[in-house]
Amino acid sequence: MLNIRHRKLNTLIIMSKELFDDIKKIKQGRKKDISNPLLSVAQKIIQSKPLEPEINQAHKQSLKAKLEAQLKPEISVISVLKTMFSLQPKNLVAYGSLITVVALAVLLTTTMPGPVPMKDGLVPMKEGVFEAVRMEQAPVAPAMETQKEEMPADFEVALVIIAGFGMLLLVVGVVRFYKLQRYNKYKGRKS
Amino acid sequence: MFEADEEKNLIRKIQKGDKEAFGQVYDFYYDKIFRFAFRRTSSQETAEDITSEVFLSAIKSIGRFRYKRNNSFKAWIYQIANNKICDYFRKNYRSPTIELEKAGQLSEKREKSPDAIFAAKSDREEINKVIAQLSGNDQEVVNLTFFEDMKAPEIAEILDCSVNSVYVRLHRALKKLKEFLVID
Repeated sequence: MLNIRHRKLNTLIIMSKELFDDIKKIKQGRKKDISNPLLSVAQKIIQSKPLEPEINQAHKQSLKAKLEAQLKPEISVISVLKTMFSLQPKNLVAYGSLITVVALAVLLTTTMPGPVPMKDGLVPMKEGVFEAVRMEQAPVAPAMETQKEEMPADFEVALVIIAGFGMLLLVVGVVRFYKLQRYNKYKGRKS
Repeated sequence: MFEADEEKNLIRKIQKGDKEAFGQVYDFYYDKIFRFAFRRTSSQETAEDITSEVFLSAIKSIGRFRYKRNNSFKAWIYQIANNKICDYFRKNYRSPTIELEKAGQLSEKREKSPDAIFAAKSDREEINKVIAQLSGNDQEVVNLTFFEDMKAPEIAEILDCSVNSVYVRLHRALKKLKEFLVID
């Protein structure tokens, strides 16, 4: 049953495509044989000139002036954001996850605490070695740089904001992806 | 008619804010969009309003327009026009009749002999009357195919459907037109 329906649809598509090509030929004056009744209808439409209302030049020029005044190069932050959010869902997800991962990685590596110093200024290097050093009362090694340079608070905040923005892109991308999937499914069911 | 590369350059210039490039594209497309809107709405004023809306929307979102695989600026701006026309019909539907005749009279000026005027007018009126009887979707396909000289992929992009669907819609529209012509 389904095969018959498919075959019928395929035949219709092929016929319609041929009709479209023939219409093109008629327009170019290359088609002489118009025995098909649908082609004769098409020829009649082609021969009857389309409606051509007069163009209101005053409206045309005033609109042009109005539009030219609005014409600005898009370089604002808002336009960049608009462009980002108008990306395809899969690209949104990709960029969102990339931005989030990079921002979080930078944030974590720079804010992770360094090795904790001992009371006497020694720093545990390896298991066992530390004990041996303590027992022999070896000269105290100079204390290692225990704290990394403090990262400015503004930079941390900026990283958190970037990570948040990435997550937002990711979420929007995922939501749009599922919406698109549902829409495609609906369209497929409809056709 | 612009070459593909020429049009791409013009659009890029418009995106950077070039008024001269915009002027060229506007002058080329204004008449087309206006006639496209007029053929559907059959009212000069409504067609002018729709044309204004189309260009205002286009100028707002031209920055986001990108050339992808098969798309063109022409298809993009016609798609906006088509959406605006659909919005118009959704808001206030009324059957198109009166001003079609008026427009027919306007374009009469170019005809020469009275016989030719009569023959052409009766043909055109008949065809217009019959096309107006088609559904909105069918009218769109017929207008775009016959009066806008568009290719099937462009029509498909404007109507947001597949190329095969365009072929089939046109086939069905012509079948209906044939029936209407026989009945009339």
